[in-house]
Amino acid sequence: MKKILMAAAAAVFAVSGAAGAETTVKLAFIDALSGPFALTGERGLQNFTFAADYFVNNQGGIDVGGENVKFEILSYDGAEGFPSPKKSVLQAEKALRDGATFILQGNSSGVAAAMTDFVGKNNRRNADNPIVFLNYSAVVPALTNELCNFWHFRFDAHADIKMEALTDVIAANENVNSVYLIGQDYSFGQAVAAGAERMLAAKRPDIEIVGNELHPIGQVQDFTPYARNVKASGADALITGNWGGDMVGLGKAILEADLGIPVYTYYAAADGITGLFGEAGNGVISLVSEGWGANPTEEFQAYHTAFKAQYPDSDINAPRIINAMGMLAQAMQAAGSTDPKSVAYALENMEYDSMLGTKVFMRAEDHQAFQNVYINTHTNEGLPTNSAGAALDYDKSGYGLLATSTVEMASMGIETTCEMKRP
Amino acid sequence: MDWGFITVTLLDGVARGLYFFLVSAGLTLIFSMMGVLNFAHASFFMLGGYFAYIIAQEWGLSFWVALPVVPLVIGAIGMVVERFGLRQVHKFGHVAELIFTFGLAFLVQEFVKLVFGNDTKPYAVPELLKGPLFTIGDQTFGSFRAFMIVVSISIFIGLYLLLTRTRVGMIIQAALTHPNTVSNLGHNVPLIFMAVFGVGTALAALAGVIALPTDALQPGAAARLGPIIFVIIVVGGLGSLSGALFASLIIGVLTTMFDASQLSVISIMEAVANLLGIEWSLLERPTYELRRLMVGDLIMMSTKQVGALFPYLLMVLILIFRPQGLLGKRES
Amino acid sequence: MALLNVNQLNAYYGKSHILQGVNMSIDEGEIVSLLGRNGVGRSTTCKSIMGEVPPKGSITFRGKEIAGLAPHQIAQSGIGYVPENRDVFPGLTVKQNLNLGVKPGQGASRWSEEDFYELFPNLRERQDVDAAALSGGEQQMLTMARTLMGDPDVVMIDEPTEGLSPQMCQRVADLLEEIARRQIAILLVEQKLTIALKISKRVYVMGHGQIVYEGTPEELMNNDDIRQEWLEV
Ligand SMILES: Nc1ncnc2c1ncn2[C@@H]1O[C@H](COP(=O)(O)OP(=O)(O)OP(=O)(O)O)[C@@H](O)[C@H]1O
Ligand SMILES: [Mg+2]
Repeated sequence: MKKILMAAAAAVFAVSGAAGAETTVKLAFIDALSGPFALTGERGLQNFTFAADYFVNNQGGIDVGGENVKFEILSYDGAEGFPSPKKSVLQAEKALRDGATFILQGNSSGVAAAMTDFVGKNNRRNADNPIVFLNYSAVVPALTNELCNFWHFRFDAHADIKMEALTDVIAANENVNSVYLIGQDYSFGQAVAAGAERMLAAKRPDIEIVGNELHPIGQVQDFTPYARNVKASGADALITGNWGGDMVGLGKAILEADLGIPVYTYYAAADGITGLFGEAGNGVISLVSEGWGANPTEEFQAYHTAFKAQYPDSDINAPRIINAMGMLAQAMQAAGSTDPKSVAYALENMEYDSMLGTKVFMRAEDHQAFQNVYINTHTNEGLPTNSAGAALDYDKSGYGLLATSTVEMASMGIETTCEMKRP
Repeated sequence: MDWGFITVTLLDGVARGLYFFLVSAGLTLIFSMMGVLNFAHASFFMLGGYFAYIIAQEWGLSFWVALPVVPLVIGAIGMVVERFGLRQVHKFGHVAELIFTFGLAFLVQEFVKLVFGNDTKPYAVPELLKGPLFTIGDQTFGSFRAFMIVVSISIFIGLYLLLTRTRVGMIIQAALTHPNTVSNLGHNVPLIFMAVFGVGTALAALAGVIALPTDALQPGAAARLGPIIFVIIVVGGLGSLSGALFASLIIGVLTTMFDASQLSVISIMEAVANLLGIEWSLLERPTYELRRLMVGDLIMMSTKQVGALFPYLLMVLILIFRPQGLLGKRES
Repeated sequence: MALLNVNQLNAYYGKSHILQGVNMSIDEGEIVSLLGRNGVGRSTTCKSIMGEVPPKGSITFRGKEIAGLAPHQIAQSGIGYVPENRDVFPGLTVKQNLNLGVKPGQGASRWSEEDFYELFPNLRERQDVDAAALSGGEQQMLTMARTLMGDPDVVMIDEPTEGLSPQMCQRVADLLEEIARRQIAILLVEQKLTIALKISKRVYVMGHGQIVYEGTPEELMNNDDIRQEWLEV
């Protein structure tokens, strides 16, 4: 009798579970939320929150194999002063305990390397409870080469892909006969410098690298001495991968020294930087990135308007976050499951039509996304607008990035040393 | 390296050292008078930058309004902090005072984040002082940096005259070493403490107003400067203004020189090899390959990296060989 | 009515109870010595009166309660204090040191710089020298002179002759007499009985944080018990 009752109860629960099935997938955002790089982290969180609501929660959830799935973003501070690999991994462990099945992280390749290592180990030990790492910004090539991992997916173009695009432009510019490199002294800055040296040597062996400097990350008070060295070297162009406060400082010094040469960057926009450079950066600063291009889609224009309505002081500083959330939702639906492993398999080789006006292809071989990459100029003229007619600028400054050349599906065939082991 | 480069780099270093001085002047006086290391001192520097940015750029008044107003306002805030914060906590001893200033530093940082956000504010050099003052070779020296130098030197001279030529200055000097005795002679030492605290914070704020346009105005600005000014007052000698100036200039100039230098172990090896006429295959390789070598980190090590350590190294040496500091008077 | 009256004065350093109910008084122009062995609390008595160590109990000066006032207020009411450690202000000249003795807003004074230069020609010679460079005796003179520049009505002088040569001790004694001549009361803390007994009108002997004896110098000299129990080593 008792047994029958229990079975009946179980059945009732099972049925009710299936009918109104509500599943909340927890996504753990781990990035610098304190310290000098906190703004980048904070903006990342806003962008993820907005994108998760846009693709999932505001639709009333998405249907995954008959279940109604919603996204919840948990946020964790991965900085101890600077973005810290150790603390980020501790936070990831905490996120696991909190029931997160996906990790969103991007700032600092040092952190990402520790994270991908942690995720790999955890999933080996805890095969029943795996977690997937969606990397939205860490671009050191190693993460999809020698350090590659089935559980890691990168949505940004990596440093070499961007450098290919940059060096194509530089190689085509006959006025450039010498180049100066400045970077932050850690895996990413070193990768940028190495990529530039290698690719310029291949594309334009006549270009001389007249300076190649790495400085401690986040510790230079005043970049004036660096700018003076660039000037003294007589370089025709400057390339830097600096980001955050290091880009602000370097930019100020460069513009003050009035170098009169083009400055090619990875991250010299948004988060106060665009506003700071203002007119002084006009036509001087170039930036290579994914983005919305010179003619954004209507969907993106509306998305931008809605984003600005919700976060008037913020910006869409990492458009790839839109792809990360859109692709995650689509992969879950394709897999018919929220199980991280099934979702990871569904992400492999996914071709995604992004509102950014590009296809995004997630290569199975190394889990690197391929997409259109743009060379942009810092300017206040000819910027595209959103659906409310406001210019797509940054920092409410009237200045923004204008795509001046497009590399379609940049470096699609680029080689990888990754030997992917699948579970 | 040409003379133009060396000259302007030296001047850059002087400008940097002088604004270090503006901040450390107050800290060293407060420390030696009250025996409290004010962890929040650099926070007033940062607040100076933010207030000036708000006045000059957000409210559209001018930098020239901010220049006198911000130090006055922050000096007044400093006096309130001393009168109603530090002085109340004083009864509970030095540890409580340290914790208080530590908490205050934290509070200011969080306040700044909350009100102004985490981003770097586009605090810029005023229109009038944009552009170069002069050019040597192909290097320019900015008018604004020259302005920083002039302001800081004027303040130093003013402070020096105040301390050595006026009665109030003598009372302050005496109170630096013997506050109780000065009280016993009928001088209102608590009032003097409050005034010195106010002037010290006002100077830190002034430094923020004039230095942050060339640096990054963000909530981390205080935390970055704090350790440096601590080193400066230890190296210069607690309570010694001339010591603070001297140490500020040494650290300002040398760190700038280190930042500008491009020597590394490998470049020195290269020079030696050239001198000896040795052809060395290592040198032909691109830097990224060198970095991958077993000893890559070592041979790529540069004077820049050493330069970042230099102030702390100097402090340790001073503590060992001259604990009272370069121009300090008392051993403590 | 006494000029300075101390009634049931208690003082503490942290938990240790140093002064345990001190009672004493000094009249206008009177010279009183406070005697006792090392560590019994004589300096602490001066510091409590000065407000440097928080006093518990009552201290009145010219009938006004001063316990609880800040040291500078007590000084301004007319009490001078020359502490035992001769702390001249280093980095300031002799002259500057003297000038700092003048209180803010002070009117006409019984003392001028010139008085001290006359009493101690050494100070005149060295008036522009860093005070830290003076000899121990000169520093003692300077700190006494500095306090007197503030024109107090009573001055507490803590062990002025400690470690000084006999000649210097004589100088100190001369100054004490000069102070007395100008009708300024003195509370003298001394080890050397000879000086104290010679110039004092009354003496207090302190032991374990309390006054254990009060009398004239002659009475004390005749009281061997008290001397043996509380003074001799
Ligand atoms: N700052 C202090 N903290 C704790 N205890 C103290 C302090 N100063 C003095 N004492 C103690 O209080 C007691 C009285 O000290 P006080 O200086 O009044 O002695 P004194 O009679 O002046 O003797 P002397 O000057 O010869 O040492 C002593 O036992 C001394 O150890
Ligand atoms: Mg004593």
